Amino acid sequence: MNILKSNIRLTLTFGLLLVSAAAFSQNEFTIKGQLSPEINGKKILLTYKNNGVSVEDSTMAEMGKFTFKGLIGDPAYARISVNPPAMTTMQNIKSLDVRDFFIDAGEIVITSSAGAKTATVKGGKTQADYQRRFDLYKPVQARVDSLNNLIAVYKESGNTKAMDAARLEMNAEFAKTAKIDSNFIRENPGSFLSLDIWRSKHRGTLRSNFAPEFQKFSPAVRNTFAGKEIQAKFDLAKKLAPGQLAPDFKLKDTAGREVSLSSLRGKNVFVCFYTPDFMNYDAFTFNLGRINRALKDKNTVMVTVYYSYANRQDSYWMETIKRSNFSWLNLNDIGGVNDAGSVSPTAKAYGLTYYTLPSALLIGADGKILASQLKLNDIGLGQELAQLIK
Amino acid sequence: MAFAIMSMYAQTPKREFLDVGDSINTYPKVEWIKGNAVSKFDPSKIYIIDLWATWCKPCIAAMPHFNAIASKFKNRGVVFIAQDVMEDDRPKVLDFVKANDKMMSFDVAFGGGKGSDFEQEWIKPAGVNAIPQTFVIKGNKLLWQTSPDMITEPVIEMLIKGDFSIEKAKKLSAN
Repeated sequence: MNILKSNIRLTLTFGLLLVSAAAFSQNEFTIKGQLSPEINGKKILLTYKNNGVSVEDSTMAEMGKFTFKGLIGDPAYARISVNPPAMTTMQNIKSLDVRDFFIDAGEIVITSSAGAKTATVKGGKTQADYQRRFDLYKPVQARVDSLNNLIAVYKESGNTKAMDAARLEMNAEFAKTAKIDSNFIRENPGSFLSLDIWRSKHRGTLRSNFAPEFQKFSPAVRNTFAGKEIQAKFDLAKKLAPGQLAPDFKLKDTAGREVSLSSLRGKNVFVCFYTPDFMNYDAFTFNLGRINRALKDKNTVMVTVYYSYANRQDSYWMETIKRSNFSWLNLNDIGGVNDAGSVSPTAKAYGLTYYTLPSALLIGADGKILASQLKLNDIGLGQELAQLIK
Repeated sequence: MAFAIMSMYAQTPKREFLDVGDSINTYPKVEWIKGNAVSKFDPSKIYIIDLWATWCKPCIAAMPHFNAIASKFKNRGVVFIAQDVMEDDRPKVLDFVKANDKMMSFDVAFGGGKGSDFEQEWIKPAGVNAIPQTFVIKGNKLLWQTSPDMITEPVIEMLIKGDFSIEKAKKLSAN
């Protein structure tokens, strides 16, 4: 029983997403916990995502006992934390008492004679699969732990050769986890966990060549909320394939004038949607300069569309243009993308999220897409695009 | 005198960009530590220039491949240059080249770190922010800016034959 009033905080505030998430069937779950009786009067925090919506719930443990009740759509990756600090830091990360698991509809039982970290979790099918995958990871984890200890010893003694060898072996161990996951997905097409692992590796733009992999999941898995979201991404990729008419947009330039894509008809358009300051941002801006030089005699308008992070002032756009040397048509769609995903009509039409930005297309003078899903870190992209324009 | 220096400077402006398709006639000022010095590109030759550094493990890992290709093609009008970049420690570079003599049977040059002529004339204009990177020059033109693993025997044969394109080279290297 919860002795504190449940504090459910929905961190995503966009009603549209909530409505669409709620439209999928929701089933009850109950989590019954029994940890060490010494954990008494301490806060237990539960965090998970219900069909993409972040949820926090908390209660107080009585002699180690606690209960949570809630509604769930797709099975959800969850975490319980015992007496969590206000903020996780590098200093306190090792002392955190947390346990990750999967919530399926029905009853989940968490038991331990100590804290949450060593608890046994018994629940539904997804949790059983999660535990099975965890067991498959165990030998790799053990080797990684011992290699970490060895690297620390080699570092102390200045043995760089042995340290490099240990690091190489560490990379090989990490590569094994990818193999474990791909085997798991192949052998368990009816497991929601398989889909969850697969989608975590495909967070950005989904290329159509991945569709056959997705089709291998069972119909029930493809029919989940997550499965339908992935299918929608494939459908969008088809709409943005070469030969399709590029969706129109109307956005403001640096002088505040509205510019539509359709008003540029008669010229080729290279349009790049971006947020600033990601890793390798300088290489990205340099490559845009290269593309601009490669297309300058090709009747092409270069357009960059700026998306902001929530904590940035709007004036940051002008600063970004200046230091990035974007000496072409600059438009903005500030607020068009946020943590919830695509918000504005432009972002939705082009499938833009923080995971898919930056994203660019080359559009022909007739308004039809010449190339999409461009590899913006490819040094030769400008030359390749120049060849596409007749 | 001051006027003479200024006018000399005016005649040799720093290169702003080095893109694929651009003309390139001269090699930046570097110290040649092994093999033959190159100051001007011979338009009848093909140049494969690999940027590397002693601290760059992927660069060193790529050297046996570069060496094997160089051994095979160096008598067919192809000049292979291992251009050390992004480091100032000249003795360290000399020691490395001496210790790995057999793995480096091609021309080797030391370019220097920040502010060096190679950095100003090549690294910055070509937007090199990570190595290894390999440049292919033929007929005084930059044909390709790529990575050393893309320089394969069929690609060099294509360069010699004279029907090189980046698209075809990428397909050949992928096979």
